[in-house]
Amino acid sequence: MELATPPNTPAQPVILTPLVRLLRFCARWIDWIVAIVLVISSAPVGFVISGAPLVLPHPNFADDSWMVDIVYKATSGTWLGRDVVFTYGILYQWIIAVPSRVVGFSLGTARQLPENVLLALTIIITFGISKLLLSSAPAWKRALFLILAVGFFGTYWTFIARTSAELSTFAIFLVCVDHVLKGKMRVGVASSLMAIASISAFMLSADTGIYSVLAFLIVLGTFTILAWNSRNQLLLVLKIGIASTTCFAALAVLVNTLLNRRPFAFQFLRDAFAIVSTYRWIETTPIAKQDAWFAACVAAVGFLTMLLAWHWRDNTSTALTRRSSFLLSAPVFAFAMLQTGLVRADWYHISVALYPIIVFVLMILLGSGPLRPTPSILLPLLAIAGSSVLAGPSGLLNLRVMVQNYQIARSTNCPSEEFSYLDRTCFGLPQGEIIKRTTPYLQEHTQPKDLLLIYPYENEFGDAARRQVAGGVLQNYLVGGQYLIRRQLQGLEKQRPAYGLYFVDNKMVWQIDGISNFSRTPEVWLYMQSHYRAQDEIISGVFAIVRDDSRAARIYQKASSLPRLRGSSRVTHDAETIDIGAVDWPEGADFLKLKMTVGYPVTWKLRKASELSMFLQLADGSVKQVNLVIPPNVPTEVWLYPWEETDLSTFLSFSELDWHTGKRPPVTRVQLYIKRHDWYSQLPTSVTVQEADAVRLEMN
Amino acid sequence: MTATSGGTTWRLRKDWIPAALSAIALLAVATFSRRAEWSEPPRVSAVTRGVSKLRVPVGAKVVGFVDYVAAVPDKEALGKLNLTARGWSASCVPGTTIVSVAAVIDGKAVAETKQFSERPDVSAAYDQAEFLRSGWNLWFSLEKDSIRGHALSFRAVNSKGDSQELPSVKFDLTSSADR
Repeated sequence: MELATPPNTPAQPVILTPLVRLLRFCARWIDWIVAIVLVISSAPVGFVISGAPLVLPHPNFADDSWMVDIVYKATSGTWLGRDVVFTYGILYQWIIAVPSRVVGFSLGTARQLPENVLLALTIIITFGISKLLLSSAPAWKRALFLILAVGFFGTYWTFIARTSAELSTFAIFLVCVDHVLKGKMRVGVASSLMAIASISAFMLSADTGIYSVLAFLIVLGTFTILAWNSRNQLLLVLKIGIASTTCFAALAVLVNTLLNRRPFAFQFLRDAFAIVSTYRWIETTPIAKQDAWFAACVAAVGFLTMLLAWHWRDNTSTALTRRSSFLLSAPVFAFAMLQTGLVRADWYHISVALYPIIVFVLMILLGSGPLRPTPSILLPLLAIAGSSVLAGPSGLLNLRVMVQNYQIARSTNCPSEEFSYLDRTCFGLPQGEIIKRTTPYLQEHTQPKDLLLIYPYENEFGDAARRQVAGGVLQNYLVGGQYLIRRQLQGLEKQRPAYGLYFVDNKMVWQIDGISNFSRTPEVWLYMQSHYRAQDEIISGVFAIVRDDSRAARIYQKASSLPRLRGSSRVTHDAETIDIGAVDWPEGADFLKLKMTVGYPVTWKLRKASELSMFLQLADGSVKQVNLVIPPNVPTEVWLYPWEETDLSTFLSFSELDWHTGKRPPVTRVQLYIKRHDWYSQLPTSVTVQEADAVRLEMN
Repeated sequence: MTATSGGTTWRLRKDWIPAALSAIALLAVATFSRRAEWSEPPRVSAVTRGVSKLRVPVGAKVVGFVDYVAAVPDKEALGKLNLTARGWSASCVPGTTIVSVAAVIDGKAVAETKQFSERPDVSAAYDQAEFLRSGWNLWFSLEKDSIRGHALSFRAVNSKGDSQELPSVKFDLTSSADR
């Protein structure tokens, strides 16, 4: 369809020239313009210039802590992947720490500015993906794609930036292989680009790295299937596979050498695998019914759209998204990425897990190539309608929010007396009061170069006092499996922090997923107990602890065997209670220690572990429930404190006389309750208790 | 339409119509959409009414439910059954709380608990913060003979003395007693 008027139309007045040129320029560069406008409009100029505090009505010292702490660590030369293990890698740390290095570190800037950087990164990466996969589409379609993808679904920037990076590795692999097969790119160039993308993904985060490997396999697999009848093409795919794997190995050696000075230790890769391998048993949560329905509907419509697109595929099209290679590999990759939301199935993770499906569907609708007039009008409208049915526009598309970002005249006070101000942050009470009390205490009692031990996970408290938090793993709740336990304890033993903070489980300190912090990481708690003693209770439930190496030699565990708890039971159905057995609880014992194995069929590796709760029946008729995370098929020492978790603080006392106090009715029976989180959970097949002891901690 | 100036001719390309319509549609959505942002979890709908907000029945003084009842033969004491029951119970009378939940056989209490744990799912389902500490667990042993042919029920009592037999999941203790 040509809408231009015949050539004999009278010329327009010359005065229109600048407007015409401007329109022409905008039409040509609209994708760039939109990307730049989105980045600029979301920049926190007002926050940076005004010096106004960040307002956190409900401080979350678990998640806020990792973000603030990795920024603080970056500003003082401690790097993820080299010095500390965490889900994220050195590249992610470097990126989010840039603003704080420029404007100066404070709790407020370290919490707020990474979000803005990650939003900008998401916009840039999504724009890059559109340039790669919608290269043949007009600029306005790429602009529309960017607005819909980021403006409607690009929430949770800390996470979506990572997902965007995973999608970008997929796009890079797809385009590189496609270009090689079409003779537009050399194998060496393509392989190098693919290897750089993959190693960067690993340096961004462990998950991103693993997903990049998955994308690599899916893309190569797809092209292998499609080139099956052409020996030359098959050979090229094989060459790309070998060359990019070799390049990746070479880059991995290089990165290892730079980070760890040991070329073949592959420590950062091993760390990444260790973190990812715990995901299916340490971070499992159930899916809510309404979330499951919603996600299933979105996924079904998404995959149906991809199926229809497959039906109308056109391998001669200039649009990559119309061709078999994209239409075969994209659904497989999107399906694989649903894992993120199925294992830890809260809405936060589900919404991010659905993002790849949404992105691919938008690409199909907007990257359809040359079409007849009706579909060329309908498909973009369908993309807009579909997006607006699923979600409303985010603040990124809200003019008022954009203007607010540039509002420099801001109050530097907290909104009300319900907040406590510290270091450019207004913390909601009562949590705000805790950090406000601990900060001067730490500054007064420690030197700037002193390291701190923080238990269980509130690293932000160390950063508030401008003290480094020690340990081989960033936060204790990630310490799962022998490798990470060893890394954490080696880190603590090497750094030997002189002081620390111990937060007792109570209403202020989350038990993440309802799991006692002691039972989650007993090894770390026992290390702390045997190397530190409480110096002060700064505020109720928060103890200042000081290193006392003499304790390690003086403290010992006195174990009394509980043979009646040993045995093996088969798990036959969901929501089953297994009677571990009756207990003759020795007087004065402090802990129940079980060496046990929860046996799962091999399919758990594709699903997620079940919910495990130990019920300890006590002599006074009460019951203590302890939720557990236990690695499947691995004999594991499970430590349980049968009474109030707050009493655990007494074990940090310098005198043993304080340790065994409080109301402690004996344990009379132990049962294990096993329940699948949801349909995706794998039910164990057996539970075996190899050893059972009642343990008393004593000190010479 | 053609605009000519200084020898430069700009001809609107054929995709200006979908581009313009898309821009208008996008602007309309951005301006008028009242849908929640993507970060908001889906709302409970008729489809998922199984988890929708629940209402306390009019006039009820004590509410609750027995979620789970199981019996396991005692490994060491032949003829005995170890029973586990879990559920929740809350008082609907302002200013009162549940003080006890008892397992009852033939009108006689055979076990009782006065300890309650947090049940955020219950308080969320009823949208009642007062229902948070409503969870209970009961553990008790019974002779197998005391189960056969008898009905086991659970009764909750609030601090004002109002009591209510709690509805329960279906359970069959006879087969456990016969094992």
